[in-house]
Amino acid sequence: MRIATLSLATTLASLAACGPQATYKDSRGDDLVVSLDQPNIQDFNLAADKMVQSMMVSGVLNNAPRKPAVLGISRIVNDTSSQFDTDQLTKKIRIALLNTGKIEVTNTIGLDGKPEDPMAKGVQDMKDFESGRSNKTPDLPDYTLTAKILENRTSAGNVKQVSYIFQLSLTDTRSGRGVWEGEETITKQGAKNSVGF
Amino acid sequence: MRRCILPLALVSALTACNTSNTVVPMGSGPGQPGFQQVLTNGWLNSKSNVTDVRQDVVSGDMKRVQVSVYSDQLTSQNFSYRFEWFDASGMRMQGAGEAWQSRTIKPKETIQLTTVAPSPKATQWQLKLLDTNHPLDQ
Repeated sequence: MRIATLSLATTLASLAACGPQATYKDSRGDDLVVSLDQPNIQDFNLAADKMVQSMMVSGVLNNAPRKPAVLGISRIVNDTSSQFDTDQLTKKIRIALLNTGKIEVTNTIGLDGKPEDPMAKGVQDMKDFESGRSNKTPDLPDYTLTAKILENRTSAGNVKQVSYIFQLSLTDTRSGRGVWEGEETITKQGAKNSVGF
Repeated sequence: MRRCILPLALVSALTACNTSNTVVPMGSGPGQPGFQQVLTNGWLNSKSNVTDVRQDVVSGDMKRVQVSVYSDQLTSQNFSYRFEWFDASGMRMQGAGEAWQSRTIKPKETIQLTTVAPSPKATQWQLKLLDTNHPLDQ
């Protein structure tokens, strides 16, 4: 009896000491690591989802000069204390917008005159040259998208709180005016990083 | 030995209770289509009971859904949820709105969960609810 209890306790203790082994997780699941020192993948997922839904609810793309409208990606600023590639946000937004069928993203016109896909730009230029249309106006975007990611930190005792604020603006290039703006704040609170919600 | 087995059995039984509830609409048209709930977790349902489902169309052809959720509990509770979208053939559509989201609901409060379809092709949906502060986790 005592030996059985002792062996059970020993087994449980040794299992607890080992810690969980590395496993694959659903990147959109509810049991991912939640950290207080940087934005997590689920923060980008959530922000992108909410922003795109907000844009759809606004109906702003119903006023586009053509369908699908052409979108250019403009300046995306990471103003947080963490270093990360802002494509973690913008790519998700681009994919979601493309899936709506209301937007196509230009890869041949980019910020500061640098196309995102130089080969596509070169091929486009060559095709225009061969067809004698090298002086034609390039296919300019109908809208441009800018974004900024901000961070707000505070604490009370050993409880830390961090908010990541995702701000997006859509500008109509005909008027130069902002026609849609979205802001999504994701707040996390706790004493240390954890797994799950 | 029996003293060891009893707590272990209790722990495993309680852990097994943390399953999801699912809400499926009864129709696809705008308005209040009615809904069906697949309940596998009574505790979760007591703090996230779906009372109303509404549908309309935004941006010309994108379906929007709003689900009202009521908590019968006497303390603030948390739960998580995710909308899943399907095309007319019933094939799952990956994309926006698929991330699990966590919500806090106050005692006897009704809140609304909203989403927009990821594509005009997304015509069917279901809502999955999951517990995020099961009594065992407290």
